[in-house]
Amino acid sequence: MKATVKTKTSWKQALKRDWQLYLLLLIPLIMVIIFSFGAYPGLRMAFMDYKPAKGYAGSKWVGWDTFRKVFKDADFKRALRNSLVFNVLDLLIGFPMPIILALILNELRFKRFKKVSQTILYLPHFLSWAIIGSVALTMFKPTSGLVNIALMNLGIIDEGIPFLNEKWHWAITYLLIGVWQSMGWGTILYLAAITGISGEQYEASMIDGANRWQRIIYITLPGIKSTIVTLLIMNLGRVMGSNLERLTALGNTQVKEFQYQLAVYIYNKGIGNNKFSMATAVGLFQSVIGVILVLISDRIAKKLGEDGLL
Amino acid sequence: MKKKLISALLAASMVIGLTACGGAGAAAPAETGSEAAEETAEEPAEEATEETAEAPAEAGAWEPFADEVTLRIAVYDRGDNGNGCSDVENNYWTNWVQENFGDKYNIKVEYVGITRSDVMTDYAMLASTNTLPTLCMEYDYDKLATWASDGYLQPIDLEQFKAIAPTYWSNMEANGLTDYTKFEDEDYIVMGMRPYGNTNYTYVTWYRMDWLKEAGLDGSYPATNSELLDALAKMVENGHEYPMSGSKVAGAGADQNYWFRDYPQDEATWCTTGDYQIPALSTEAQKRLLKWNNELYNDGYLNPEYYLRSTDDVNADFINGKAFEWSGYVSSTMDVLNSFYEANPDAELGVKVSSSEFIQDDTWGSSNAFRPNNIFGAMIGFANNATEDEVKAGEMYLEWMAQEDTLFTMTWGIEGVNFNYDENGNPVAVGDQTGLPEQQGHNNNVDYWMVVTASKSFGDIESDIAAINPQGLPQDFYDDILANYKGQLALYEAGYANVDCLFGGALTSVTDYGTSLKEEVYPEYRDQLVMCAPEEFDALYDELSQKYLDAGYQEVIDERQQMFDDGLTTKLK
Repeated sequence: MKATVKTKTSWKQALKRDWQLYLLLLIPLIMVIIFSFGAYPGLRMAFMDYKPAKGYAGSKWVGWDTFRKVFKDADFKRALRNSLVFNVLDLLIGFPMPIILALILNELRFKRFKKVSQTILYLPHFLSWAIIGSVALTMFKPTSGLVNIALMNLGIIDEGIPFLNEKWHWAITYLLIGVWQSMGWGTILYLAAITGISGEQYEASMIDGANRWQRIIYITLPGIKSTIVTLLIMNLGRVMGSNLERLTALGNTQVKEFQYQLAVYIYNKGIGNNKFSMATAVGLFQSVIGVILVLISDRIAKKLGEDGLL
Repeated sequence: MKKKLISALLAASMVIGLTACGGAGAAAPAETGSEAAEETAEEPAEEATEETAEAPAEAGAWEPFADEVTLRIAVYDRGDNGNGCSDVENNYWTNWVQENFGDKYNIKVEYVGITRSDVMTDYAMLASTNTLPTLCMEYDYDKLATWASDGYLQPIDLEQFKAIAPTYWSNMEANGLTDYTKFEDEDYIVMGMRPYGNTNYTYVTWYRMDWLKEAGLDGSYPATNSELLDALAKMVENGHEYPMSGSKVAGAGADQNYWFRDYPQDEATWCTTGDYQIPALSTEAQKRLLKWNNELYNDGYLNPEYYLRSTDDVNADFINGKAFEWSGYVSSTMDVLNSFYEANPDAELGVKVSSSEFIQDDTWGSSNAFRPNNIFGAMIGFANNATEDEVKAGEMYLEWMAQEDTLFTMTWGIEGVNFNYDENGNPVAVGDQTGLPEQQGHNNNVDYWMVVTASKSFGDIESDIAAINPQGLPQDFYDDILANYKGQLALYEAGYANVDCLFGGALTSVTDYGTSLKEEVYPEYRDQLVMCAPEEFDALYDELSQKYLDAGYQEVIDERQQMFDDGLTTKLK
């Protein structure tokens, strides 16, 4: 009698066997359907002169007019420029930091120290931007900020460093605070990926005489390469986005030339003036560019021999 | 290939979905909500109307509705600026309204919190989900005009209103308010009274009289800006750093230039740039105002970090004895003053009293002119989606609130808890109501009874000031507050305080540019002007004025001018 191995499973069998798992999957699936797809019909607002009280039925269709107006607006151009520049800088500075940190944490052998360090590094992620902004203000005000007072008392500087009130200083402060807030949390995925690397590889390399640095370069980094690529592609999709809370918490009138990014533009000019069509048009524009960037980077990653995201 | 396409589409939809949630999320359910509301609005309304007994002219003698009617009423939520009671939608007083009004007439009263600092956005959100409160209200005429134009409101049947709310209507008649109900020839609003609207006496400036005496002055507030500058110099010499404190400007009412205008005002300038909503950058008066602030900044009287500071910082400066003056609306319970005297028990405060004579400073162009209020208080409109019964319930509520005993309890609270009678038999509010279950809302519940009147009134100014005179403080300010009222009244009567121009329709340019001009463009430019070197001020003012005009202010001016030319505005009196 010839033994056969069953390689195909019908959906009925799969459902019967794993129905609990499918049931659990339903929860996020329903959420995505409601909160992502369910909002799609609202995008038509971008092509209407939408009046809240008149609703969709009573508002006029205006085609691409809203987009044309937005693209002609000098403030939009400023916001777009700032968003692109600051998000690229965020990516350049902020993206490698969690990787470096994860590699360092992975090398720590004293477990308790490692755990405490990880917890401390994760904490800023749980702070709201309102709190971070308030702390930053107390720390970095030009004359009454703690840092400037300390530096002046130590005789290192004669007058306060304008961390928050001069646009170039502000740019650095803004970027570094962003890195500080997110880098700890960003290590989680990399640390998880690192644990997936077989210990045998490290043992073999040690027998071959590889030092710690070589183990990082030739084993750890290649081991998490696909995770890095996946996260890079996802982060590229956010290059057009910006975080209103972060910009509002750290912003003031002196640095508006740099602080004025798309999120601020959408909130102030769109929602603040009740121009919902305009807010939606800019949001849609951001998303479309984000999707294009994701697709392009995915294609490039695949050409370079990586798995990609899609 | 097919799989790839599907996965690409799914990824795209996820990214777009996130934005759609943020940008248009509120709109998605609007359509269904709107349809549902339309259905419910039409059918049951007629039925219920037939079942409901006609409201009699005598207030309080109405028949209860056969089916429960839900009445939704807007109420300001002032957040950290102090609501008094913790929850404006559900507290002792909202329950009191339900028990004493709602339960009697089978009306379920629901209050809808409206962010005080972001009224228009809140209403837009409510409108987009078809959940506007039946009673929409605001103090700004422009906003009501915009709501009417954008379809938020429904026209009012004034005959029905008069029948259901005769007391309320007679209040309007007695105060000359019945001429203001129309937008574009239809009746859209009714309005509460504003006792003593021709003055601004409830907004009071307290100052450090002891600092002036320490500087060798007589203790009265400097009569002109030039005198104030001299006094400030002496204060700094005496070790009071940054005596004018300072915070960033924000929102409507920032940088009002009434006391930097020339009087009598030019009517066209008054009409086109004379409001307090959009700062009038590009005008001569605003130039004077900003030049004055530039002087304060460069002389070291303003805190150099003012643009990073909030009003809380200004309050804290005053409480901690680091600021020369502090301004706020006077009420019997004043936390800032209570805290001030706790921190500075030996300090002596004075109240800035307006002279009854017009005094203009030649150097700065400033004067003691001021902005009087409108003659009406809050304006109330009925939401477009309110059913006939809901409108009737709203009208009944206004009438009920206008009754003397209701208004008395809502304003004063409960005897022995929120107020006590003095030896003359006049109610005196309890200064500190913190922790009481019966704690009143902001300014003695004003956000609930503002539909009837903007301030408490017994009919004579002396009693009215006594009623709001701060209680429980080591100093008494009654005489000065009264003198300030009389000074302002004299100035008003002499023509040095003009009510803002009112426009009989919505101004599209104000809707389009108003918020961004006042919230983002003006704060940026005014800080540049305040902080620049004095010798650069004039050139920078011209440059930024042009940019401000280009950013939409010119369109605002032109549209206002057009309405003025078309005879659709009030005239300068």
